Amino acid sequence: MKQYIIQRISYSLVILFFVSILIFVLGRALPGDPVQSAVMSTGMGVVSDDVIDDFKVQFGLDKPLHIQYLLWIRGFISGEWGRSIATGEEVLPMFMHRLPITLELFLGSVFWSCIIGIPFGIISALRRNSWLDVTLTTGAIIGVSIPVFWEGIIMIYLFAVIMHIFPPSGYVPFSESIQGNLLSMAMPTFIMGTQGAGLLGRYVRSSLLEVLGHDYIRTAHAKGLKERAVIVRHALKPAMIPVVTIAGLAWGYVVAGSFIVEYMFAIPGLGRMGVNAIFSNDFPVIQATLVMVAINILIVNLIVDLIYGYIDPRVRVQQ
Amino acid sequence: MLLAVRNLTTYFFNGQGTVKAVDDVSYELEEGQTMGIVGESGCGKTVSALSLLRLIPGPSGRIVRGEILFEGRDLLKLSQDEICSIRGNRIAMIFQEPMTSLNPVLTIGYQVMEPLLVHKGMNKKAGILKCIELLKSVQIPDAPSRVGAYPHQFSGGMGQRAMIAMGLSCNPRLIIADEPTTALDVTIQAELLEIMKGLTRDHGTAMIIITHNLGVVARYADKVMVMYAGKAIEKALTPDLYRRPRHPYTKGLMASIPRLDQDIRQKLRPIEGQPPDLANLPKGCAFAPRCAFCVERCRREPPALIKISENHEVACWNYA
Repeated sequence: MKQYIIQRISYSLVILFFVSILIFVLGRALPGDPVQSAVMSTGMGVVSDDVIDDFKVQFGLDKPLHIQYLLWIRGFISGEWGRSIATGEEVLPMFMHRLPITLELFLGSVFWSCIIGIPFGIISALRRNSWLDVTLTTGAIIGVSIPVFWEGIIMIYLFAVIMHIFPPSGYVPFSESIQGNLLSMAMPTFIMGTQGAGLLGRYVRSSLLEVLGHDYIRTAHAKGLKERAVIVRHALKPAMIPVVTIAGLAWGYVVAGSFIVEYMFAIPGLGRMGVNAIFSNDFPVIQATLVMVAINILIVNLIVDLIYGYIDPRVRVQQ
Repeated sequence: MLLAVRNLTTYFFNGQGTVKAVDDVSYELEEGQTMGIVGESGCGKTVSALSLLRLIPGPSGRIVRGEILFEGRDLLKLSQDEICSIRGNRIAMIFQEPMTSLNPVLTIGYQVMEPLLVHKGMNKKAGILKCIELLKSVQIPDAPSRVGAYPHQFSGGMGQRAMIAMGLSCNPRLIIADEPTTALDVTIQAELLEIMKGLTRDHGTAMIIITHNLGVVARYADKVMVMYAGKAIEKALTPDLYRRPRHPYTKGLMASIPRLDQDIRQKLRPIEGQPPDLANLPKGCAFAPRCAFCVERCRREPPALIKISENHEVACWNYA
């Protein structure tokens, strides 16, 4: 098992290396000049070339590209992530400050996805072709198909503007008010969660249906297990194998969705920071955000691999 | 009388029509007796066995008529909970493909002891001990270290041993073995059948062996039922059937077995033609289109089973 984990981690590092090159090159290839927009934002109006050169030296933009890359990587590993061109803030503290907020958003959306998606999938499979199944399956397609921003607008209008149940936007830290925190995160996490739930529900349904057709389910019945025990003890675990794989792949969409949702609900998380950085061409921040997104997805896939090994004894590495 | 099946009729209803998988089949089984059900693939022998435990896959399949009297109770009239308390406990079933019939994500040990946990209220600790004992009884080497293994770590033969151990765990009165050795090597087939025969003899367990292998039947069954197109066409004690098969189909089956004492230049004689479509059976005898002894009456009306001697019944107009 240890060997398996080490192997997966080293694969991830190799992938991360290539991703970092891609991120770096893409950052430089973006149209627009970050120095120009940073200087503009200071409100100094037209400035001399000297000021711009100073700026470039300050951010190391005068050096050749490959040196810039190596300096960036070295800095990244040693915890010096540079300063934001737009605000002059240190990137790492900016990051650490926002990380818990985004993590809460992720965990909340995973919670909703599982709480809604898995039971719906199971019920759908067990009552296949009933009106309940048709309703749930249609609901899942709608859940997957509705764009995040649209669902967000509708929910804000219904639950915040008309019913006043949840605040329309903003974020209350957990340390300030537990209730306020949960209320402010309810809608954003739910919106992200329903996207995942639709996907998850459909995969749970089809996977469970496939498993229920297997011979070993007949064996379980022949042993005298009641319907419930057959599902819980014999069908669910093997049915989760493809679902876990899909959940890992779908994680990328969740992360992408968080950028939109954070922006829409004015949640001061990493997504919002990333979007702002892109608007101002603030590439130290863009690069840091993208690398963290990549690391995030790699970690999730590592977890998926481990869960996979736990569920399916056939993929466990032999000692 | 341990088991009396009367007029068992199982149909599958699908878009194309009604598939008469088992049609009006009756038989009886005494305590400790072994019966063989023989026939080609698709003749309804597996469905007739699944019907005993009400394991017909719904909603298309349904037992439309009949009685299954087991230990004096009609299994078809039991509630869902009652039939569950019989499955795996009083009647156990062994399936043909051990590799697909065992759950890939659960350990062999758990799967073998599960009937004990469910029916005997045993805890896991006692279950494991009993499980090791069971695995030893089916001659799985190094049983204590194998209880934690998963099915993919077992060979087909080992998997089938585990299936047999699972079936025997609650010491059932009846074991239904659906082609228990078909998926295995010939050498292992004989070994497993010997183990099964030995264990059922020791415990006085009755057995129904479903097979298309006439050799297996000859050696292990006390009596035989030959099925064709969902119907029982010949029933007899094993020696009677082998000495004097009556139905043209049974005769055909016997003639198509390769024999070592035959001249090898002589060709095997297959039964001409194909088994009929169960959704679209001919009006008279289902075997009539393939039968060399077919008379005009055979095409008109289906023959019923007639007793031609004390322990021999056959459904053929030639004996009427």
